[in-house]
Amino acid sequence: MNDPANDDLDRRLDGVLRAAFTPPPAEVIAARALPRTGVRRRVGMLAAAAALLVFAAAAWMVASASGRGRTTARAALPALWVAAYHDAVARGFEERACCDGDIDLQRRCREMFAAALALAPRAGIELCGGYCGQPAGGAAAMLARADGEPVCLFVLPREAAPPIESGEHDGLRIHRREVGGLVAFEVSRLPSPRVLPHLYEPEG
Amino acid sequence: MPRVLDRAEFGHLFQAHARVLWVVAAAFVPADAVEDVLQDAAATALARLPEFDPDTSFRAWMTQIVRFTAANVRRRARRRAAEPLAGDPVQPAGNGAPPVARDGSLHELQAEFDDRVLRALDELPAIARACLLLRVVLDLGYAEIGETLGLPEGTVASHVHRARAALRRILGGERGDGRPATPSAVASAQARTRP
Repeated sequence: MNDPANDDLDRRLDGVLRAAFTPPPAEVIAARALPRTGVRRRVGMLAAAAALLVFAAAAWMVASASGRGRTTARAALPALWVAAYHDAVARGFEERACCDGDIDLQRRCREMFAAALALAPRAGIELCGGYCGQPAGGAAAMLARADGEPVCLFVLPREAAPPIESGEHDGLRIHRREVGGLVAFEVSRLPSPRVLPHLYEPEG
Repeated sequence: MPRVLDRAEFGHLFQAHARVLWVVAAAFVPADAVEDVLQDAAATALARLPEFDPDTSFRAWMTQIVRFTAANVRRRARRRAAEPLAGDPVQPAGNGAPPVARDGSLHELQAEFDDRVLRALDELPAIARACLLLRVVLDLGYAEIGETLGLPEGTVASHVHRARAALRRILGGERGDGRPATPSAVASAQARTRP
């Protein structure tokens, strides 16, 4: 007969193993592992990015809805943002595909968080517009280019920001900077933040 | 003479079994090497496609290549680091664990328990890890795991049972006489490791 104490421990063990070792969707694994060329590669990248995004969004939503609460949901945000970056890049970072050029950082932050954040004009940095591809976990999501390199910017109020420091995730770098009551996260392949240093809290 | 798969067929089959292959690789190498192992294994398999008989199990064939590739990766890493194999950490991988620093405010005990489980998992033989992960994470049956890893069903059952028992023992879930400890004993065992 099974022992309740062992059953309980086994359930907890299984939960930890599933959380740590559940693989990405099959199409994502295949797209990363198999050599591809030309159009097929692009289609594969799109499919992989979409699948990754759906997977990350589902994980975030499950975490949000589960009893483990806000901490877990916040912890899932970086994966969601990395997936959004891949999605935006796979779509070409183009206005018609996933970027709304009419969305301005300052206005979006005021509308979403009643707080102000602006980007100082800087040579080599172009703010393309708002990311409108997929959910970004409640963050104001913006697309930018730094010397032509795609950069995603995610902004949240301090109390809703995940407790991460700058680091590498899935081949990308995530950098963090607090500006006033907001926290901005820069996601890109660049080794150092290019957009974050030029954010400021405008007066008024 | 057996028919030779073309690249498209290979791609379909690889994707159909990708999650199993990923878990097998994760059982043998640290998380940050899983993708490299699968890439190398896929390249090796493509080069050796004429050797594969489509009337046999693609999953078993591909798993063997993944294990062989993972062993090479570990050997190379060991040579580079000049340190024992057991030092390779088993890292949480899953859907890409984010670089999250714990804020210490919530779920601290759960996080500590998670770390202890992963460390304990690292102490198991790789083949036992693979059996346990395929059973728990992908919910495969013993027969299916056996076919995948080229092991008899009874051996898989034994690996899973022993791996669970070892994890419980390492985590303090069983007393030295093999009988289960009470929940409070488990809690106090966890408390011993807290700073």
